[in-house]
Amino acid sequence: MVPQGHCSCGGSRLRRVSRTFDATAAFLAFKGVSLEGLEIAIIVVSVGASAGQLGPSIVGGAAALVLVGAVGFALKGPIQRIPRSFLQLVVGTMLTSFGTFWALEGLGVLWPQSDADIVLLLVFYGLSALSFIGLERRARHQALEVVRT
Amino acid sequence: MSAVVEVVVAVPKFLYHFIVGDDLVVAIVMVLALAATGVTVANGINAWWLVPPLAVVMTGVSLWRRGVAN
Repeated sequence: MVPQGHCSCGGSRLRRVSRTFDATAAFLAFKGVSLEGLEIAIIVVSVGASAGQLGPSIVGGAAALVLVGAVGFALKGPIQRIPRSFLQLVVGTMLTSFGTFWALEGLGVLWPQSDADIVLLLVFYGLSALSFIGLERRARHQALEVVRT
Repeated sequence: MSAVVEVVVAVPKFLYHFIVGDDLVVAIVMVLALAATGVTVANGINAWWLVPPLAVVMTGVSLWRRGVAN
């Protein structure tokens, strides 16, 4: 799905930004923010309540919300120039790393380097993804050569 | 199609794509890997090494299957 006014084909010449209201982009942003917001609310409430520190937990969550919003607004321009596929790769790698870490910890696994293993998982999944991208590009290149000959 | 029917169809479809994704085999293998990790941990083996390599291997298998299918 390509939101109105955006081009997934890359290249600055083809990039254009619509000034009209984009319902698809708004809906996608709403879904994403709602999902992540719900996750944050659950974390803030559960961590705060379990520690008996709900007030400071809510203040910390609210401060993080303001900070992330401000950073997102400040970096709006540079972020718009990042290719969507690259963002998908980075976000996917991070979600897979954090997901693996927390899922296994939830099953009772003790990570050898504790929280530092999140970084190792990021490196491991990142390098794996880059390897697969290289293999896919090579396969596509070979397929194109077969078609040409 | 009425709005109710659309929602009844769309919600399970969304949940399937959100949880399973585009490869059912990968989803099944990873659920089994998580279950196996839980069982081994319960038996005193700290199997942190099982899921990460398997996730990478299954990504490769999924890409290979898609390449063969195409």
